[in-house]
Amino acid sequence: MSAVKNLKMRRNWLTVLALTVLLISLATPIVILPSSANGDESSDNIKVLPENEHWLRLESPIVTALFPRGGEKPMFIWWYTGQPDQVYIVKFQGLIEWLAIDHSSLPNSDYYSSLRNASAETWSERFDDWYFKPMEQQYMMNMQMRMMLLSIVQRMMTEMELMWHRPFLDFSAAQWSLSDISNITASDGKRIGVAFAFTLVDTPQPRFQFAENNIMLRIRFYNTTVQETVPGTSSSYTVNAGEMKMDLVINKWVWNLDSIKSLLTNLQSEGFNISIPNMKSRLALWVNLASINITRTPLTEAKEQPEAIEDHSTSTVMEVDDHRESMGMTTAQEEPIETSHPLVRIQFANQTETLAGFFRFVAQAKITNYPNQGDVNMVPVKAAFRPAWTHMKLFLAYPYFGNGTLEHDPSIGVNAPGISPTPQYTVTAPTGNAIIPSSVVAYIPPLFTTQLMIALIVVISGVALLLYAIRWRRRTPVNMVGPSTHTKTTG
Amino acid sequence: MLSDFITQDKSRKYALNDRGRLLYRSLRDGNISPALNVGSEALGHRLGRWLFLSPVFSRTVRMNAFLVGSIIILALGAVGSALDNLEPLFFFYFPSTRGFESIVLMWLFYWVSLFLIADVIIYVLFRRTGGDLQLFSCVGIAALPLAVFPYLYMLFPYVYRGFPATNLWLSRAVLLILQVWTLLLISSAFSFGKGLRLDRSIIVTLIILYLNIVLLILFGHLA
Repeated sequence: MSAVKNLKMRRNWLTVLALTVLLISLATPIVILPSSANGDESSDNIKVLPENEHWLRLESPIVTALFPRGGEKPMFIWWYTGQPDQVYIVKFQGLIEWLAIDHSSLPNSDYYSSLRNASAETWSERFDDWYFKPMEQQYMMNMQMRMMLLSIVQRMMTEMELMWHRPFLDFSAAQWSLSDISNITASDGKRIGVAFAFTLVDTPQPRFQFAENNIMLRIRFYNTTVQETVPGTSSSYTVNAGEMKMDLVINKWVWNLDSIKSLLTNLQSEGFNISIPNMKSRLALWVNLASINITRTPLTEAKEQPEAIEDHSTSTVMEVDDHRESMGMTTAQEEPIETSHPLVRIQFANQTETLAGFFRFVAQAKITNYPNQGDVNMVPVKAAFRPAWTHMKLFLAYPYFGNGTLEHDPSIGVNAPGISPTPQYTVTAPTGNAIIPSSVVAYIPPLFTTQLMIALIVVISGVALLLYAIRWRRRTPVNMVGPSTHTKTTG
Repeated sequence: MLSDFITQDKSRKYALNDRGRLLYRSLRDGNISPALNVGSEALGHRLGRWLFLSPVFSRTVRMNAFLVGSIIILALGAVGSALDNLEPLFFFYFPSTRGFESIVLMWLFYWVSLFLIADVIIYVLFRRTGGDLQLFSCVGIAALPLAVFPYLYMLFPYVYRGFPATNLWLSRAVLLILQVWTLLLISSAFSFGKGLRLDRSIIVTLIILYLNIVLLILFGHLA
């Protein structure tokens, strides 16, 4: 009788326990959610106002930035709001197509070099000198073969002349449009930043018409530190408050080398053993980085002459991943930035000190729809620079992406005191033609670590070993479960 | 001996109790459930029993009530992780920017998959068939610790307001404890659902844990 009573009591306790857990679980979101929704502090501290007819001014407590109102190429003049006498400049000069063909007379093909620019004149000469003439001499061809080779080579030269665009797409020569300035609003209703974009809409060079509406620079500026995730990949990075995040988007680039690939294939199928090592095209984004001491050069002067703004620059030193590089000279050759860091940081400096401004970029770019439609891949970005007396010419090199889309995200900002490095929100970076992030939710610190996973494996494996040890010792199978509620269990 | 398996109702009619039902099913299916404690030794002290929730699992033979309970637990876990934007990958959680519905579906997908994978592994290794509904009920109940975690995770920032490092440390520690508990409960669930000894069911749990790690590698979480 007492066993039945005991059973009933246990059953009741069990029911009460289960109900309590379920009720607490259900009640938790009801308790939590209203307080998150009400937690809207005044965060409307970013203003974008017209500076004059050519410039817009973005104001925030950390960074103030100027950028063209539309029509001109993307460039930014920015400074730490608490230190307005030192301004920093980034100018997006253009895109350069270059060839990564390996040859002993050319520098490392991983990094951009102006010697590799995809110019029809230069490369038709090189193809002839390096590959066709030696073959002609080497094989002592008969007249018929020689004529065939000459005819194909001639056709290739003509094709290159007719089809190839210039290697450099000059952003200054193109017409750009600036989108509306949109707010970035989090799921809790808080305004955490602004987003806008520059789009190349017109170019006077007919062979670059494919670039119209296919090149875009998306910009996002946050007033709080966020973590951005790249959709379709596992890539994520932190964007600090006061940092201006940019995405360079290049869609459907027409590659010079593609137009002669079929002719080279023809040559091979005709029996000419032409092998061009690493015959790949690449693209480089050219940006100029400069800084001006406003006590020496008034900002108005710099704003009125944006094309010659570097002339006022005082950046004689730049810090590339903590290495000081002198800019106080000029070289004909680009120097590679060899780093294994996932985020490459270039810090403005002068002879005596490191300045607050920086330019940085993720050492990977996202390529979509290449090699196949729907593919999403992360590819390495290699950087090289050239000192130019008072400023840095930086070249960010991207691999071939066929008819797909490349997205790469440099950013600019300042090192300011009091910026929390802990993200407050997780933002899904916009893709395609979108400008505003598709999702902004509260940041969740990573719960998963490899150490915790190993701990889990160790504990469970330990329990398994323990069970087998007990079984071996007692020579009987082990059940840790009790037989029934009213039966005494054995140890 | 017989009194272990039968009980009397209010009208003093004899009927099978929980153990009796288990015995009946075992005889019918040819599987000896560990809950019957036949021919094996039990480590049935109080902590062990509650750690493995054996008093609960032994009642899952009365399927309907526990089936509903296990579905409620799975639904609670799915909603909780979606509210927290925590994306599950079997026993692990990751921050996510997916929509509410996607996370709910993922949660349910992983636990239903776990049930199906376990069913297949147990058949392949031990040739155990039947008892699928009870196994599902048990697996659902075993999901309770990980289903409760998102709700605890919602509470931590309020408890440790202003101490984000403590909050993160505590969240990870609690999650690890709940993960261990879930894995032990899953072993117990296989034990009851499929009539396996615990030393065998924990091997199935380890196989599923390693499959989970393979998925972590494939999805780039261990990069």
